[in-house]
Amino acid sequence: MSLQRLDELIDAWRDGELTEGTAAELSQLLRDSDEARRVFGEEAKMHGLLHLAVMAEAVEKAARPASWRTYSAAAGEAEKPQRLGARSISRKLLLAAAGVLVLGVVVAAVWLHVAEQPEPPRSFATLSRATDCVWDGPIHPQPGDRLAAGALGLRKGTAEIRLTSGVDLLVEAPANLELTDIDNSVLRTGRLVVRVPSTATGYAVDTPKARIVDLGTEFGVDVQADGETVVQVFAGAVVAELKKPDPSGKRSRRLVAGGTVRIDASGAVELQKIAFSHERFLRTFSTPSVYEGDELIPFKPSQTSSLDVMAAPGRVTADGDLSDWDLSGSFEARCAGEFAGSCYIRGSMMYDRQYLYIAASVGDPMPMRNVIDPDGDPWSAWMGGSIQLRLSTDRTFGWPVKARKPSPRRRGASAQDTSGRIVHLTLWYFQPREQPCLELRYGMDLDRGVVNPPGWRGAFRKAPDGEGYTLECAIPWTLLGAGSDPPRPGDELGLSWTVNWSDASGKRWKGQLVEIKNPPYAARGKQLTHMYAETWGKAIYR
Amino acid sequence: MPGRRTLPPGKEFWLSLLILPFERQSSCEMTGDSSDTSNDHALHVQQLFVRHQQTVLGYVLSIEPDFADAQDIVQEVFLAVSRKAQTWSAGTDFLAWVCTVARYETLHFQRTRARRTARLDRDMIELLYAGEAVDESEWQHRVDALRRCLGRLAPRAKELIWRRYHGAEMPGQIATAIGWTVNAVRVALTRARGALRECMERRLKAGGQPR
Repeated sequence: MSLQRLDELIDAWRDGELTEGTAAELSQLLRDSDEARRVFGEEAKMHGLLHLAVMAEAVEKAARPASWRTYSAAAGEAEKPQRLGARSISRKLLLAAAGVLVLGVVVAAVWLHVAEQPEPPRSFATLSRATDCVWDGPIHPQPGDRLAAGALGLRKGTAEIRLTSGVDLLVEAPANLELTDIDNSVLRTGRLVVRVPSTATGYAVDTPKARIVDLGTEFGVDVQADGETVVQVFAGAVVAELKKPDPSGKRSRRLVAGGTVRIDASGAVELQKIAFSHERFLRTFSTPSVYEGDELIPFKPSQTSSLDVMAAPGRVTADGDLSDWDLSGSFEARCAGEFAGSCYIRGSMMYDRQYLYIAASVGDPMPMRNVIDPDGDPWSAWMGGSIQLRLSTDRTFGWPVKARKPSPRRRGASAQDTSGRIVHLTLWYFQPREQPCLELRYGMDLDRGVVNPPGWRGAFRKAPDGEGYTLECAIPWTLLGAGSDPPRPGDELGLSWTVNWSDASGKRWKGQLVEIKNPPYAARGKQLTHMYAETWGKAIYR
Repeated sequence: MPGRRTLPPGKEFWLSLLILPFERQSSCEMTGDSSDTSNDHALHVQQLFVRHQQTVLGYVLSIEPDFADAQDIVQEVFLAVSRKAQTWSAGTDFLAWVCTVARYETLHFQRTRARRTARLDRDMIELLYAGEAVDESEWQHRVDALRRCLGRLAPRAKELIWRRYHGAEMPGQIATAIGWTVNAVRVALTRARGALRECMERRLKAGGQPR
């Protein structure tokens, strides 16, 4: 029985996507295997439990003192754009849970209370998307929630708010934004990109120093804590109206696409032209796009199933200069479609008795921008742009490596599953400290790990054209569980590479390329290399 | 009732479930009907159903994963339990009896009214569920543990779980709403569920109590 296939079929069952054929396949799998029945039973029960847990949470949330600025998708029915029929189901969930939690008289009291509630304030916006959002203050909207006039404090993350007029507001934390009405907002601090359709021309953003009035456009506003304001126009035109006239007596300035002004925080308000920068604002709501088959970019099926790990020809200095390398074992992979020219990797490995050497030349339009702190959240560092290797250093495991992520639904974990000679490496360049970083995690359970351990050396070097970087590092075998028994010529051990690309923020994942894979898994939809070592390709030590 | 609004679809049932036992009790007291004994028993069964209906809904969801269908099935179960109240004997396992009724109602519903056409074979459902004992307190402990674990999920994972299980959005719908691909949503949901399961098991092992 293939656990991966069973997972796929259970997904289809859960999501209502079983066909006659797959339903029969799932039935047969369950008929044939006790283990499959046990796994399915656990998943089915989890499905019911999750519904109940979320219902209970929803009821508790609804019972909290009502916020006057935001309310769930159940309210404001007349104005709410249809959202995939979710609203009515959410309402049913709440009611179903209410049915359990309160009885008879209590229900009657709740009913009376609900019936006598004043009409909620008129909403004119929806939190359409949110990534990693942490909200300040009492308002913690969820995607899909309607928003009325009021202030929103966004401590972390990125939020997209769509007004009913079609105006999109992309807010980047930390930000304090007040939605005034359908035509106006106030940005006290933070970054905001406003996209205004022609039907909503005239939308205005007030800041402490100026009022920015749209003339049919896309523009960004950045307000610092001290009041300094930058306005940049991406398309169309805006008028920046100063609260006080600048020294030349000007009170307003019209800006067209490509124009950028800074309104100084000093007492004398100045309107200065500064250089336009595409990277000043997040203009798109960046979310990872994961590959399915070879249809989406920058993903594509793995092309390479093995990598020759060459014997180091001599002393290797980890300085980002690969002139001391034997690169004859390199593999090369490119993303598909329009990203083929800009997102690629040439990867190489060498070894000697003391070290495993890793080198990569990576095409990356946003190179070495990772801002995820190794001392803070190294577990998430892969998302900000990184290279990850998963490898086995134990020849007794053979190939393919059978280790897999232990799961409570599977009885017990094998010795391989938790072995210290199954190692996951994440390499990234922490831009704020200009620091090469390495995180090591051991076993498929990934429970144990170290960050920037003593003994490893690494260097990142940006490409001269700024469109990529070179990584070079040396990692002692002692850190890879093989200090006393490093790989020998002829060994064939498990290995897989992943390259992750981020957006300009250096923290949001944009895509990845997974290479060196076991051929049967090369084109499968799920790239579960972190869960199933059987999906890994082969490192052949020369 | 002044200011009373029209109930949205579905609300009547859930309110009737809650109010019905009390209304019926009141009626019996007033009339002193000679069929008090059988009515009392039926009333008792309905009250027990109300007490256990959350677990029944969870149980039905484990057989019929579509939430809207599962809700309809629970309505049918309530009616069936009311009809068959006399076949349950006080002192025997009420939840086991209701779950048996629920399983048959689910199978019947799937054959006749389900929104989905492709489903597991009937014999498979019997094989999977017929021998399963449903323990109310175990379910409640698990729900409580999961609620705590939900609070520990990363914001993005929580958003996905919330959309999937509160908004009842399918991965394709979530993908459209948040601009991901369907596969990305599936992978992220799988990871989130895995994290929740591990967290739940950890809490149960550590003797986590309901909050």
